[in-house]
Amino acid sequence: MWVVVGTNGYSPGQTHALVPNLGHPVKMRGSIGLNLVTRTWYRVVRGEDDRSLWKVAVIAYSHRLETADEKEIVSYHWHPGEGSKVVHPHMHLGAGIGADLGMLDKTHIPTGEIRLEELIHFTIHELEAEPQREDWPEILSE
Amino acid sequence: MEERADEENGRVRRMTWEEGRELLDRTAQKHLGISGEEFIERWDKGEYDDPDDRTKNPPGVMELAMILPFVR
Repeated sequence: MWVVVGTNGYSPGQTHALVPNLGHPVKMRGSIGLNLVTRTWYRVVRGEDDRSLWKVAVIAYSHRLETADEKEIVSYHWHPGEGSKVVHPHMHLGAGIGADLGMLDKTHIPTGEIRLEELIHFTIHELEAEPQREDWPEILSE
Repeated sequence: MEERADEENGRVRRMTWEEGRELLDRTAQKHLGISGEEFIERWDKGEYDDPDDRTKNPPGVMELAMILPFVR
């Protein structure tokens, strides 16, 4: 179950926050044992011209892959205007990697924008998370 | 006047205020070992400065900062 936090989830002019599983980690079945913790902030905006439909514009996100015991492996962040000096999309590496990261775990490693569906595709395709339905590639590409 | 929200729309529903506060509390306990209320007090005092500066703050403060406006 997905929930929107604090707003109705569709009104233009507001920022909405979408989280799965009431904010609890989503436990991904598979050989590795991963948790996904994700929050997406978005606004509902008109398309470029008057005839365009309304669309969802993602304005910030936090996607984290954790070990089953909730240690951060990697987090993808983009949070312009949220009080941080770091406004570009970036990633963090965490203790869940299981290696000495030195100062790397304090840094913001630049990335492009990471869409949640890309991360889910990665976990299924390369980390052997088990999809709950056979048509998952089509669902993720919609 | 704020538009009234649908409580549920297919598989997406609105989180209640209590659930939102519970999310803040659980996240603060997990990352900082403090309650959501205590996080709010510290946040309002400016203790965290740049919330995503991991040389000063533990991971998770940024996530808390992003949740906060929705659960006050």
